[in-house]
Amino acid sequence: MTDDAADLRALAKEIPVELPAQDDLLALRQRIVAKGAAARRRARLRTASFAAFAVAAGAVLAIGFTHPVHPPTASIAHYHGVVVASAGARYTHPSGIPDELVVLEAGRIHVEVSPLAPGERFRVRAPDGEVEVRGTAFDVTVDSGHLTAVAVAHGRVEVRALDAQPAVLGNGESWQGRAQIGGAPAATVPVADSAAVATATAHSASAAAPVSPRRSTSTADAPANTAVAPIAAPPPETSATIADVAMPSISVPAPSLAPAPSLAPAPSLVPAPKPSAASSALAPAMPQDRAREEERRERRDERRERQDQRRLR
Amino acid sequence: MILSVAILGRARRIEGDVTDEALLARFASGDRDALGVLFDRHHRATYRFLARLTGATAADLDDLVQSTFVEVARAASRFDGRASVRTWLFGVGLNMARHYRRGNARRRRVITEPGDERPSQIPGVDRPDQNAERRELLQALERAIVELPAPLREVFVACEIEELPGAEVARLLGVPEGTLWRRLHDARKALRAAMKERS
Repeated sequence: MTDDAADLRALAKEIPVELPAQDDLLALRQRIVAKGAAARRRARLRTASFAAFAVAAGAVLAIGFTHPVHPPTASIAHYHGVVVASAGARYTHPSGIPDELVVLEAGRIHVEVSPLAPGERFRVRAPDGEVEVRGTAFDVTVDSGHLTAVAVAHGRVEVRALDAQPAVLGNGESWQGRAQIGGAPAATVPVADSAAVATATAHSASAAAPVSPRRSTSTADAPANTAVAPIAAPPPETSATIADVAMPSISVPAPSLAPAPSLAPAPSLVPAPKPSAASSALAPAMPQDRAREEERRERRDERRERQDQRRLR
Repeated sequence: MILSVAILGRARRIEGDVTDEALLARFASGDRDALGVLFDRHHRATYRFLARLTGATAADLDDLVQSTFVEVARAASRFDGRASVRTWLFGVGLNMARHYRRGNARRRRVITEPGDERPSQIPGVDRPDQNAERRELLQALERAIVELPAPLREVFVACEIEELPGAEVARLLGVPEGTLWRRLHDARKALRAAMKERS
């Protein structure tokens, strides 16, 4: 049996192989090398494209996990305050809930704050003092580096100035500091009596016009009913001071209309530089563009490969 | 012939100490000449393997061999080294042969007519009468191999003619080794019966 198997094997191996002529064999070798190289290139391109797509998808996922992308409405939900800056005002909004802080360097801002939860604070810090609020609408004026005036439309604020006794202001009350320059005293500032709407009135001697309401990018999706609407007619020169505002202003509903902090925000009244939240929301689109570009490039290369193969044939 | 031998021989001298695995790796990393060297080393066995599996005509064989090596090139970066390059190459060829048999089942010429064959000289047989008798014997065996059921033919060609390791062939075919040996036994038995019937 074993011998039979060995004989059979030997006989089978003896069956002649029909090889092509040498010239044909060489031509076949050249075709194989050329087509093989093209096939390898195509396979590598496909692999690279897949890898690029995978990396892009991974990046999108990573960004999604590390920087959750919220809609613009959610990105500003951690602010209670609506800051409306007058022309020439310079302020920043460096922190949000629970210890929300607005740092006013110069000029006048109008602030509306939605009701705060226990343990939450909202402060406007001036160079030499600060105002802490608990759900109110008020005006703060800083002139020549000093807190000069505070006017409360509604609610309660406590004013703590360096050279003055702390004062608590109620509805319609105002406070005047030491360095107020010209103009009407703060107590006489016309303040809107509506609880839902704040009025920005300029106290600065140089720029006495309110800023026209404009939507910033970060609040583009805010519902219209939260807009801070009834403001004096916007003067044409208000845009001249836009650059002075260091941080985007954030709008939230007035206290009486929007008690929940998670409600959609009002549009910003101050045109701001591109908000970081919006930038991070757009960032994942870039790897996808690259992946699409890779796919287009792959299709183009495949077309070329097919043309090469037709030429070879 | 001389030109081919010279070219192939030069390639062997240059790459003689390089393993098939290294050649495949070199090709995968961009050295296109490595594929040519692989072709030089294995084209004869590949022709034989595909011819025994398919019984294809010479023109179809050329296409099959070309498709096999191009597919090897395309998949070179996926070679994992679990089997030898030769076995892997035959695995690719096996798939090509299966596609060929499926696609050409109706028009395939199962066995070549004696008059159409390329002239072949049987080694060690000098007398014309013995040569003719031996050739007839081999043709009968070739016909019997081609007429084997595909699973038996694949095992017989891979294990007996190409002498690939049984474990690698079993993995290549996706069958247990026991199944492989049983198929080999059945193939031998069928071939012996066919040869006895002829005689």
